[in-house]
Amino acid sequence: MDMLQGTLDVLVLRGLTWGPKHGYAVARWIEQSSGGTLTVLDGALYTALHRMEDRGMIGSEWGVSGLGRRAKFYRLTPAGRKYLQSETTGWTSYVAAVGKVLRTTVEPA
Amino acid sequence: MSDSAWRRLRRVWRPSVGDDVDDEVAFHFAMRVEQFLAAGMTRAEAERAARAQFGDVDGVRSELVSIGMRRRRRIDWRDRIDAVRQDVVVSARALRREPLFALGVVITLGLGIGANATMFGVIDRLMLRGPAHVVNARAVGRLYITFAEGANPASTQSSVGYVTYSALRNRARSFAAVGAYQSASSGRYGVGAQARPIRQASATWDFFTTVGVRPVLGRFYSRDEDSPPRGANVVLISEELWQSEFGGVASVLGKPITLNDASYTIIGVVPRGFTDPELARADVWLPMTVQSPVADWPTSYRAQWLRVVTRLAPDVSSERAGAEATAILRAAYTGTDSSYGRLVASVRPLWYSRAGTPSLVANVSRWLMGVALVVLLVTCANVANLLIARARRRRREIAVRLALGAGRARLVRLLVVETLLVVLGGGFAGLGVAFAGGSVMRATLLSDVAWNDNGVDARVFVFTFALAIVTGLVIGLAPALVATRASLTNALKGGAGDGGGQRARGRVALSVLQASLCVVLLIGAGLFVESLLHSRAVDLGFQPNHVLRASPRYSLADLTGDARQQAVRQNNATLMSAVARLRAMPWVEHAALSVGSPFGNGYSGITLKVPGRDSIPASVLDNASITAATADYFAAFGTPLRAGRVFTAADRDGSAPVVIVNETMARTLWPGTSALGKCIVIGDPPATCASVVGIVADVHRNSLRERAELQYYVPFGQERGIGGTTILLRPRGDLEAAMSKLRAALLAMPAMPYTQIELMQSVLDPQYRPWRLGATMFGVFGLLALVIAAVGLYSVIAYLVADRTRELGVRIALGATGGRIVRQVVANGVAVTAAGVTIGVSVALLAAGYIQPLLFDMPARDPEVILVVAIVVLAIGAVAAWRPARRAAGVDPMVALRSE
Repeated sequence: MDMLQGTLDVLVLRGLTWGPKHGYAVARWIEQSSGGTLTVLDGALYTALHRMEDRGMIGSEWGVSGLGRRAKFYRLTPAGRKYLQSETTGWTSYVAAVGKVLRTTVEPA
Repeated sequence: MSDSAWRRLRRVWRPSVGDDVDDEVAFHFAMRVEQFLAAGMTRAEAERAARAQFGDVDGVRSELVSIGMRRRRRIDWRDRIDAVRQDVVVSARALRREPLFALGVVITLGLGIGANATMFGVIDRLMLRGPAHVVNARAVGRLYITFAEGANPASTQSSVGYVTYSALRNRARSFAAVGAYQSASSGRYGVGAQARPIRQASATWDFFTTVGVRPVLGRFYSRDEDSPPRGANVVLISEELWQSEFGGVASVLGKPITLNDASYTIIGVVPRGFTDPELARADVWLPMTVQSPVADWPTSYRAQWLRVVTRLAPDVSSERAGAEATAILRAAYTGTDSSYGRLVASVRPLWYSRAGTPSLVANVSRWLMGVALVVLLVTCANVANLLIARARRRRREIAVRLALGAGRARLVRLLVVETLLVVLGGGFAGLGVAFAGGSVMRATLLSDVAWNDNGVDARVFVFTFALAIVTGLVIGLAPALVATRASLTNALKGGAGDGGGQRARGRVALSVLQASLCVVLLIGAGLFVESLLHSRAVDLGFQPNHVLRASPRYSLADLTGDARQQAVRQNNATLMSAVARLRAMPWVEHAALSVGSPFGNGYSGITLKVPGRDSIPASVLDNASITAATADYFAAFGTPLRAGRVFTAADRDGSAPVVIVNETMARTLWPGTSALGKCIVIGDPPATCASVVGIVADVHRNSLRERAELQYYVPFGQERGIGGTTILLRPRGDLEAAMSKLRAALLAMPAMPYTQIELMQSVLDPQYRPWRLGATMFGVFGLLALVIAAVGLYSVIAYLVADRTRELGVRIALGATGGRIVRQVVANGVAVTAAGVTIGVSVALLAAGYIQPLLFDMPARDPEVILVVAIVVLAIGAVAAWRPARRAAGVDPMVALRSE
């Protein structure tokens, strides 16, 4: 299933809510939590990460990965957290509204 | 060193964006490959799958790098700005702790920078930028013609005939445009009792395009409206007149106005502040061809009343243009005067005088710009002194900061920023000085120039701050380097032997420099003051200080031949009776009529024959200037009679022809014998012998500096071929009151035309301007520098005394008396000053040749001036050293010895 540009940003931000992650971990998180339904090209993922870093929604730091390798870790900034919240709210109410319409069985008068 | 090791080392300092991206992507690939390996793929399959999962590797990499670069640049800028802001905050805090120091520096620099800004404003208008509304003034010049006459010295003039202008504009290829103008003179605006004077200038139709001005409203006149034989009655009005007289409405176009009794149609408005190249303002501009000085003016070489301005074609030098103009003008001349075949034309800057030399005022201003820079140097020396003293006070603080790890570069930067802050304050103070000084200077010393600004405009602003910043960098860097060179241990230890002596040498050198610069300035001031006195002392041959001159303007425009003669005679009769009535008034001492007067209308060129003196060349006699005068003329003007008699009421039209000559004429025509009773035939036949009845003093006719010329006077009424009667009046009592009484008396007369009344003294005032300007400004700048330098010397001596407290204490303990200490310290101060005086006098002597042309009849190496200045400066040096000396004498040896 392909995704819209803005959607990827939200998923990435969501992936970072549990603490700093490197890019590979974010990719894996998206794959696993969607049950493999959503596939993202890794290149697109990194582009999203760097763009959002540039816009100040996430910060980065070089650190050491669980396997002792040097890796770049991303973390949410307050601005990113706020953005994620508003997007999540918007998304949820959108989905709820669409769902409500789709579930309607009575033809309106 | 291996490649990767090198890269790692570089990364420690600052990792490159590309390396960061590569590292990140490499880590990602490694993880993916491991993931796929764990899922059971071979290594080759795993790597292929990882690449497929990533997408366009190269494209994404370059995208990431460009994002990173952008981000890094932005951060760098923010850091830099933050650093500067921090420096400014820290510096401002440091300055607030020492408000007196900051204020002293701001005021001192304000004066120094302000002097420069003032002079720059003047020079900018007079010389650099040219008159307002002139576009690309560099390309615009004035045309001069030099006649190399055999016996006489070559003479250069800027006034030419219409014929010269038209020859140039039609044939010359070197010019993009050629135009001509006639400076503003007094005209009459309106009719009858409402008539009032107006400044009216004339210009050819192409004058405006030549200088580049554009109309505010309407248009300038066209070629058709300004062509011989007579142009159209159209007129351009100034924006000022448009506003004041016509309320600035667009419907002014097409309206008629009356000028000199003729009607003209307004067709355009000239922008505010537009002046002719000589910076004279005009209210109205008329086509050159509507006023004709002589009948055959389009082709005549006799009438030379206009001045030519040129705009050089692209890539043509003024030399080449001058050469072409020379060839054209020589070829164009068809008359018999051989001097035209040898004339040399030249194109010179717009700000040159009518005689083709840099105008004296501009020259003096240029010198004053240099003088202002010297004042700034003196100021800088003082401020540098203050900064060094302050740096010394702060050495301990700075040493501590250095010890705590502050970078030397950062400390230098901090100190420079601190200096820049006070210097910018000085810049603002300087703008204030320029505003005040510029206004005063323009109003009093340069009042005849049409200034359109008050001394501070955008260019002056930029100049001021550029100067302030350069000043700040120069004087801020030296003390900063000195301060941060502080050896840590010495500074922390404090006390003697910390290199104070070395810095004192620097400060003494600054004081010597200041003293020498002051001496140079004051000698300059002295020379100009002397010149002013000398110029004031020139015997003009008349006493202008209590004389009124009234010039009634009768309109004779439409009259010719006998009718004109008749009208002139009638007007003169009216004026005669008016003068007779005036003379009877108690407030009038003398009243006279004349045709021609000094610094007014002058006439020459009338054929003279002196029987028995055929050896006198006709060219000498033709240049003799003639004045027609009534009996009271010499008394009214205060021209002394040397021999014989002045005219009486019996000498008039129709009586026996008589003549009065000046001393030079008497000496030239009849050397060795008395001129009285001799005969001069004035004019062409049938003129008869006029008998010389008197000899009067030579009179200056045009300037303070002129060679004695032949001058003669005929009784009023006996003159032929010259006209334009003026009334001369020497009142009793108050001059201003007399002026209004005269105006009232003239207005009361029936059919009296518009009359211009002027004080002879104000007519003469511009003559003294260069020296007054020089004397005032050199004087102001010189005193300014002297005060600043005296303060500087005081602080240096005080510093030296403080530095030697222990030594002084020892000497007092050993029995030196207070008087002796005072003498020694004062002697120190005088020695510093004397060194400066020696250098300053030497410089003044060396520079004497350059300033000589600006002086009035005096040597630039005037020993009196030099001596007075030397003594004054030495005395000031002694006074400045006096207070610190007293303090030195009061040193308590016990305290001094214990102080360390």
